[in-house]
Amino acid sequence: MASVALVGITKSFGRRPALSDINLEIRDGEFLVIVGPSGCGKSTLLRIIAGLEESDNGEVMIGGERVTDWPPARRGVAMVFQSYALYPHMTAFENMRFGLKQARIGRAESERRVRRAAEILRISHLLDRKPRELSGGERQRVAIGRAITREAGVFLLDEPLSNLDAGLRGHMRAELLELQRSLKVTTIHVTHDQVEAMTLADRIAVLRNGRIEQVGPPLSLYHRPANQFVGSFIGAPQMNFIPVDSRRRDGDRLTVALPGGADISLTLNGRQQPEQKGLVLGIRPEHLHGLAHGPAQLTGRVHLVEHLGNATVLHIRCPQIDADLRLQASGTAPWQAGDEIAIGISAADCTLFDSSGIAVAHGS
Amino acid sequence: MIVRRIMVRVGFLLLLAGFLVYAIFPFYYALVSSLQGGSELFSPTYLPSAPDIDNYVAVFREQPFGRSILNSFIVAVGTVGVTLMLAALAAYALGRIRFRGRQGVLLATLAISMFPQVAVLSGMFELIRTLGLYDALPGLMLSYLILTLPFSIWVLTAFMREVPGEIEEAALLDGASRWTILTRILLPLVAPALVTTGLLALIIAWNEFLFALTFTLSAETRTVPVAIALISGATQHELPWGIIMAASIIVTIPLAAIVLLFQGRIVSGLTSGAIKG
Repeated sequence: MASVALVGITKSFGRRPALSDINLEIRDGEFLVIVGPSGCGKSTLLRIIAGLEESDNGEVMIGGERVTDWPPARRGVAMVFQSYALYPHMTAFENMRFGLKQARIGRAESERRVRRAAEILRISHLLDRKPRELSGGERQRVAIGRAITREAGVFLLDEPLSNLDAGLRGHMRAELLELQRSLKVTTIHVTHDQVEAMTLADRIAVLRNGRIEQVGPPLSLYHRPANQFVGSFIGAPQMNFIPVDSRRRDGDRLTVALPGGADISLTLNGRQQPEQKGLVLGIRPEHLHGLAHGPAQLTGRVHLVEHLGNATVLHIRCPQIDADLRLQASGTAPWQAGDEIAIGISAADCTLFDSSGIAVAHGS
Repeated sequence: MIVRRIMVRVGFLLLLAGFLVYAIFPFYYALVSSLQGGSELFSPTYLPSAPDIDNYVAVFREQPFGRSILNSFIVAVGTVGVTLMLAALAAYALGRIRFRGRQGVLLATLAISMFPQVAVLSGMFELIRTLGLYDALPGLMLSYLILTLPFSIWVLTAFMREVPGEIEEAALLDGASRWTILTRILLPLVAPALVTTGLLALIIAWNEFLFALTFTLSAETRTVPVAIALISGATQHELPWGIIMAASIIVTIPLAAIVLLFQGRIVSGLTSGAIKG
């Protein structure tokens, strides 16, 4: 069990910067998910924490100690790789014991630890098998078992679920969460899948182009994205962005006008007056409502209907808005492609972004 | 249709038979010759008329042939051992560690294997004399490395590259040293390649003639190919074919046996990347 701190980490490959000035603290026992599109540097960051890659600048602290120059094995971290990286010529048992052997832990003790890990992961009956005789999910468990037996202070998981099929992935996700809760081990999990991030994390760090865009608990990122990128990356179907005009300011309240002319009033989160031009209102699909009657804030035409069963996603074209709006209605919503639709917005759930994409005001 | 199918089948079998005769007949003829006495040799037959093993006895009686076989064995096994050890270490560096000049080293290794043996003969002779290894078995092992190392390094490097990097990183995180990674993780994974290159090196070392002829002097250090070449008859004008054939048969059999024994391994080593998680 150990905390992890990253202080001013930078890294570039040749001239291409991969990470710039990463500062991040992970509390002891916390489950942190680093999420971002491919190529954002998230795996590099994980490898720097593991010691498999050297950073150009900055320090890695684990358990309060400066480990920047320590070899991987000394850092007390265990890693689960995307490909699992099991040793193909060893049985599951030998795979899990290999690290203990290197650490010169006695035969009886290491055997006890392997058996215990196998029990936790329910793979006791598979210990004599070699990796090629195991299914994807079973290999995954052995890889996690290898991390557990090491009794490392920090688990590093590099897209561990991405090689599993959809059903198994959901299942393993739940198991992983349960496991982390019971072991209470500090875990850093890297993924490009925002659903994984939302469901697993105590806190999420969103990474883009080698920079941390926002760090926070899943729901706070969902409801209070710090910028347009976080808003669009977290949540599916994606957040809608509607261009708006600033109308008037009254203390910390700012009123903006939607393309149709309707007003929406928001609370500024800084003292600063946002610029007039290029304001964008971010609103999640479930916060748009199709109205049967009453005053509409936007009108448009449904041109695509996605039935998900529990919900229906309508793609709506509105005059004066370039992109389609996505509206999430109930599974029994009556609209069909071609219908005219009147849309209401719950202003309390909106976020206003300025022209550089920074969140400047929220609904409530 | 049926006739045609039979024709094709017969044709194919004939072709196979042709190949078989081409490959095996020389060996068979050597066997037959080795079982015949001196003058019978000159009346060609395909079945020995009165087979006897006089020639085989003569091989061992007229020179220290047992000693030659032992020498060949020591040299071949020693060469294979040193080759595999050096090649494995080199291949680990060339296949898995990034360093400046890696490609250059690989190409130089390949270039070395292109020199004809004769071209390095005099230089090698000087080297071996300077080291005091002339007319000694270690001198032969040393010179054979020139023949066996280049291809061994290339084959093993290619195989080492096939091993996914994450496996090595997992071992690093598990606390394994470079040496442990090489011996406990990488070498077991490239075992088929080790067997293949080891066998090829064994065959080369067992059959090598030119270096063995040049770098040995006395009968006690001769290897088998030289010993056979130096078998002479009662007079200058007579070549004892029967004895030479008997000697050839004796030294071919162990090699053939080993190759057959490891046949399955060779095939899998030559054809497959062989490493699937």
